[in-house]
Amino acid sequence: MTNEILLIIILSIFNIFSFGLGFVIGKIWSISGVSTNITSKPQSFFKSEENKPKISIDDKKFVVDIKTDGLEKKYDSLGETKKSTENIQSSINKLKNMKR
Amino acid sequence: MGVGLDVGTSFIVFSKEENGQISYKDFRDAFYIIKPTTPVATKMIEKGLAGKVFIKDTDNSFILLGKDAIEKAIERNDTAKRPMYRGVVSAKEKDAKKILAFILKEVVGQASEPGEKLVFCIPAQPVDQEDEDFDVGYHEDVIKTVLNEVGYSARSINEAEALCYAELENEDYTGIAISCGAGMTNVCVMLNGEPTVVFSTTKSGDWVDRMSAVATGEPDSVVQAEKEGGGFKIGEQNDNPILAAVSSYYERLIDYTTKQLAAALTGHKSLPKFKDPLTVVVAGGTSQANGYIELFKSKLEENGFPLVVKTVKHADDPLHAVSKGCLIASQVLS
Repeated sequence: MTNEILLIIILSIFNIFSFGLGFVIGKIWSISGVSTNITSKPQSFFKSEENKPKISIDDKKFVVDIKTDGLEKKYDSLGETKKSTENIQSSINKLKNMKR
Repeated sequence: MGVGLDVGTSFIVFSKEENGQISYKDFRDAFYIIKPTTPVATKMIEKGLAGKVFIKDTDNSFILLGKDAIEKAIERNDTAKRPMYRGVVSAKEKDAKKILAFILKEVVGQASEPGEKLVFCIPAQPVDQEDEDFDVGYHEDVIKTVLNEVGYSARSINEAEALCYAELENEDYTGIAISCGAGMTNVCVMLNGEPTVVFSTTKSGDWVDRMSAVATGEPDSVVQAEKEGGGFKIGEQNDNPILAAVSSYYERLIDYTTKQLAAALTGHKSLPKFKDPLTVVVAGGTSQANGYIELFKSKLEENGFPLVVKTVKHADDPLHAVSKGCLIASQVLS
């Protein structure tokens, strides 16, 4: 009976030791990068594409020289002028304070 | 000091501050070309155009500008041309850039000092775009190039954002501004001076003119002149067939615009959670029709506008409000 108990204790200690050793070896292997960490979320193909710097060409239409020199004026004044007594100073001050 | 410029499809409005007052200079954005076939005809036409606003091109053709262009087109049962189409420089008109550049230079004049700040308005990207010719970036570059040539340091602002700066001071710059121009309707939702949502639709006053012209068989210029003469109320019967058509198409335009507004703002990610009901301010030449604001208000409710509206108000000076906003923006920058 005593021998059986002793055998169980030895086997239990051996099992715990084996588990501990396996755990340590596993950790060392994962740190060295030999095994992959399957618990981490895989990155989507599109997500990885998003992180790449985008290279695009500026295809905005080029503004060529707009020549008005050849146009000969045949009038004295153009447009109608209207005066208003509105005060815009308070609007300007308020917006300047808000934009600070 | 800084100056403002509303570059609209139908009107160009320049604004500057002089002795504590605002001075607005308006010019109708239209032209009409007359090409004489013989040297004798050239002389006769030039004589006949005395007193009108026109320019002579290198090929001896005459280009009438502004109101005179529209009057001459009506006289000849024709339609005046526009250097701009749906809020941007027209790709359809060969001479558009040259004529727009000429008009702009004449209206703004030389800068009072080199690098004087000028803020001009540009439209937002439309939500109902079907036309590939719409290129705001190119339009902006064209305007900047022209204004830089006359000494200004020009910067663009969204048209409806400028309207917010002109009209929402009492609301701490929180609310919605809708600029109903000739070519487009521009919308800006603003929270404490910061635009949160901007967009446009491509149907406005010109659409009413075009559709009414098709319905009545009259040229667009004739319809436009009748429309601007007033004498009709949106939603009411009219004995004049042109005005009856105009009134009907106005109703459809307001219904369409309010539906687009509701659709564009419902569930919009950038829309803030406003704690108070909002003021909606409406401006622009198209909004001047009798009954526009009343119908706009009722259609907003009917078409499921997603925000709580305190009031729908008309700008004090609907034709100059955007230019005033540009002027305010230029002076905030200075």
